[in-house]
Amino acid sequence: MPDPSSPKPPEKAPSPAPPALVNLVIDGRPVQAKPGTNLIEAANQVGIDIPFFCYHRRLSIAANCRMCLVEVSNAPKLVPACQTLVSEGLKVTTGSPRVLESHRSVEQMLLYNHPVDCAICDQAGECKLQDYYMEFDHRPYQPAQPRVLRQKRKPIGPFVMLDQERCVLCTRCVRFMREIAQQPQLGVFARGNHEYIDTFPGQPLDSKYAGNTIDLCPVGALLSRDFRFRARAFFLSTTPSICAGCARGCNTFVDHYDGVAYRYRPRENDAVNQAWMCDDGRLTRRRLVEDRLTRPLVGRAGSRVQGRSLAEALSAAAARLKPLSGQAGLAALVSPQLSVEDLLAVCLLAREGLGLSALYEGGLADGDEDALLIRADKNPNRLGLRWVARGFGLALRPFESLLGDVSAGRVTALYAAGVEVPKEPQVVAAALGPIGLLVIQAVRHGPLADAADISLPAAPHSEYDGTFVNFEGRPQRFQRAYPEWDEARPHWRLAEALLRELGFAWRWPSARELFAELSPRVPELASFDWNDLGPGGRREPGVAARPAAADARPPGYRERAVAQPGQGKQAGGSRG
Amino acid sequence: MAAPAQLPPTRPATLLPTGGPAPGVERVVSRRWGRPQSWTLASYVADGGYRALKKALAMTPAAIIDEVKRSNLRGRGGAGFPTGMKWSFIPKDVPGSTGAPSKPRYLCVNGDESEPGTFKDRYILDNDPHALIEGMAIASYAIGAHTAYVYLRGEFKRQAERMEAAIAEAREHGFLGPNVAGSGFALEAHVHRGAGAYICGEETALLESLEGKRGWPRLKPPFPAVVGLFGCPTVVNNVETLANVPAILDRGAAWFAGLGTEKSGGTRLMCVSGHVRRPGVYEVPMKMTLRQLVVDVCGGPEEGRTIKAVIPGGSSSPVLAPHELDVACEFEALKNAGTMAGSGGVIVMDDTACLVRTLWRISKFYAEESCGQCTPCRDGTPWQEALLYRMENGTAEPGDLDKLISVANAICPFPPMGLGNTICPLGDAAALPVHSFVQKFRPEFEAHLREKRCPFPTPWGRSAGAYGPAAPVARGWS
Repeated sequence: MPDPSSPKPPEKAPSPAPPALVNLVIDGRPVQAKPGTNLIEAANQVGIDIPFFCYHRRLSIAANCRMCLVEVSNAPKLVPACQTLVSEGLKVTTGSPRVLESHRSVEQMLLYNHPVDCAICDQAGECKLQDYYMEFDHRPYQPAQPRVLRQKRKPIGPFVMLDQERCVLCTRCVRFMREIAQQPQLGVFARGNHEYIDTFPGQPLDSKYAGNTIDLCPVGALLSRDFRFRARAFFLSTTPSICAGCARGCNTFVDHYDGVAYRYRPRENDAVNQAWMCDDGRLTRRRLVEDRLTRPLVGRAGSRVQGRSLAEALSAAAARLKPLSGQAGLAALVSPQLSVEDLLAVCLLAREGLGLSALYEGGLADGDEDALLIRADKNPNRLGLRWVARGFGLALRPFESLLGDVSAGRVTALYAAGVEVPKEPQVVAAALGPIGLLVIQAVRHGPLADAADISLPAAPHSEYDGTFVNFEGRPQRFQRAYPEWDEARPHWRLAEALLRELGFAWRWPSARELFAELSPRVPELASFDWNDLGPGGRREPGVAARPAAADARPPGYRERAVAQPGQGKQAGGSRG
Repeated sequence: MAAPAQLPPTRPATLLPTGGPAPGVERVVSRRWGRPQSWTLASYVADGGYRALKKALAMTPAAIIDEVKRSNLRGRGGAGFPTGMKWSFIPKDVPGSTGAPSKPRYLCVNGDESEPGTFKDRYILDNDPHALIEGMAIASYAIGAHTAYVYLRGEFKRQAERMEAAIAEAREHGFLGPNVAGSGFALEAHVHRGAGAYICGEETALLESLEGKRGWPRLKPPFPAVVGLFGCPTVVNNVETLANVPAILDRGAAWFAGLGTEKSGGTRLMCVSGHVRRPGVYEVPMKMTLRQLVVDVCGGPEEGRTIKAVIPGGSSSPVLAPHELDVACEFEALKNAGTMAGSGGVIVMDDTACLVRTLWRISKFYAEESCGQCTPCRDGTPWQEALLYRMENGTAEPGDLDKLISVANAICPFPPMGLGNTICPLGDAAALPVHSFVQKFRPEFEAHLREKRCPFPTPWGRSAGAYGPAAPVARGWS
């Protein structure tokens, strides 16, 4: 979605007629494809899945797995569908006995030296080798005697564990590091049957994008050290989300089970992150589960009152904020980690409930930046904060001035929605010591939560529906993966409750109604359709959504029990 | 007449004398072998060397390509592709032979002679390097290349040194360098030794290796004539092919074509090894049959033994049974006989040879030399080797012969339908011998399975079943 604040680009002159489509026949079905399309993509258009290991549409063609061999009318031998481009009048057969026998042989060859340790493999359940075995092979395991032994667990980088025995040598990881990450840190070593993937001596796989090789790996050879042995992939549920690690707003899936997020996977979006995300972003998963504040804290450390419920904490906070409303010493700190919906409610609270005309702008400090995905701004919604604050007529003051105002005595009470600050939290907590009243909403424990008079438990973005505006001004929806932990609630829900305690009548059943009611005050959001979930964002139980994720599988493909309407092959729907 | 006594003692090549068993045959490539100091420029020029280059430089490149096309010269590296046609595939619209080239072109000489049973190119490099240099210069002029690379197999240390010395000598005398033979045409030649990988004899793996990368064959298309070395149009020719070129230019395409058959011109170098009395490199006319070569020229097997099998073109070509030997040593005839001319490595086996053991050793070679890029070859070749090892060692199970055929079928289906499932022909080279050995000598394989041992004495006098238990002894690469 283009930035609504920027003028629309002038209408371009109609481009020259697109090149004529090529007509071909795949398994008896007429297909029209653009010239230059390969057979895998062309077959995909009519719902015919050709199996493959090494192919990935964002990487160069390697054609080394030989799994996608199909029969074509213009060659006597089987040709790789990934390398063969469509041509006029071509007849392709993907299910002939000859082709199926070739699939079966490749599968057998790959299993010849494979350890078949699926019981302890993280990839089990989303492994192409497993899927194709069930689909094509079904023959007894005939391993080499003895098998070629390789490194079973080699930590090749801070994020990635390598199991060379499970590798099928598709070289997707090597090609990704060379072509996309442009840090060729992986290579193929030795020769023939003894070949293995490894890093070069003295050069660990320390690229910020190393995690993508884990998604790309069609088998369990490259494993996330963050995820390894923590969950079985086939038990996980998948929810479309947005990475909150930086202002890029990479589209993700949150994989979760029983209310715990176990990993992020990138979700394909050509306009934002293609099919990738960075390791820092993947590790922000930990913010969803570690040190969570799930019950309110009332009273400062040392004089804390135990056992207060959220309702009690909210009325206590409102009771102490109400007399200060409109007074000179009251201020509010707002974090750009909050969603647009949170900010709409918080700004409403600040403007109408607390009578403020300015906000202090919090948020994490800037970090490193690169040309591919990573942005220096480590907050997902800074632009959204500026839009909403402007819409509510609130001025934004930099965080640095807050500490000065506190020490000068100009701020004596502070309401903070989100406690992400650009300085060391201990330093900030000490600097805020003189404040008479500190009411905060925080997702996690920390020095600020402990220093506050009242800390209200907020939910992270995996637990509610909302929107982040990325650095280009692109509002992107994230979805609720699982219920809030204990008494944690979304920031907007806490702000709504405080408003009610302060005597206002605002009440929204969900973020949708909140957005519908308050977003008209923010002109930049006028053209955003809250129901637009973005590419791959729609969830239909049991039916795969496309486009695929980085691993070339459709999201939630494990749950795919019903074929998509209009698709030919009904059985074995686990391919992507 | 080049009698064996005139050869240097380190090179026991037996050369077919002119006017030998096939009267009226002229020697083209091996004409000067065995002469004293035949590898020096002085000797080469004294024998009329570099005359063809001067003649060629006066012609247009198109005329040279036309001449080579009319000579019916076919590539001697294995595939037998017409050389003139290969040269003509270099795109013409790219400025190169005239004006400033937008993209350079390259000539690569494939001297990575690694096929088991083939040892002809090393004799050319040893005895007549200037013939190769002259052929390179003519070819480079014809395709508009100003740089030529001679890619030699890693073990050819002496040949590489001799080649480098010859290039230096030719450059000194103006047959290479910025002004070749005073014509204004510039050509630099470089020698590159490989690191000992069989796969680098495959032309695109050779280019990768020359570029300093891993020797993995490329996907085709595009072919090297369009996207070759460093992404530029490139011609890759075998050593023997180029060594024939000066004679074609010197004595005319018609003469050269007349030496051969209708579709292949010239003569061929055949490398005969195995159970024959006089093994060696022979230059033979294309019309000569394999039986003539093996029995009449090389003396056949020793007294009291009979020929059991002949591999006609290096270990990758399908084997021939004794009754199939009346076939000319020529590309079309051998193809029609269900095998291939390959690189001319004739391996003769008499009745003492165990073909299971032979096939096991061949399969072990391909398992060792598979580059590991694509699945069927990477995992199929060791599987073939393991199954054959079990058969030879007496530990095979009854279904192993069928399993062997199914593994070979996965690499290259038989009968071949436009060849196999792999990226490059190494997979075919590994699977076709298996198919042909089993097809033609099935009783011998079944005997191994039935008796659970090798019924043949091994060359060192022990029964194969006795050379060790199945597990780790002989499974390592040796």
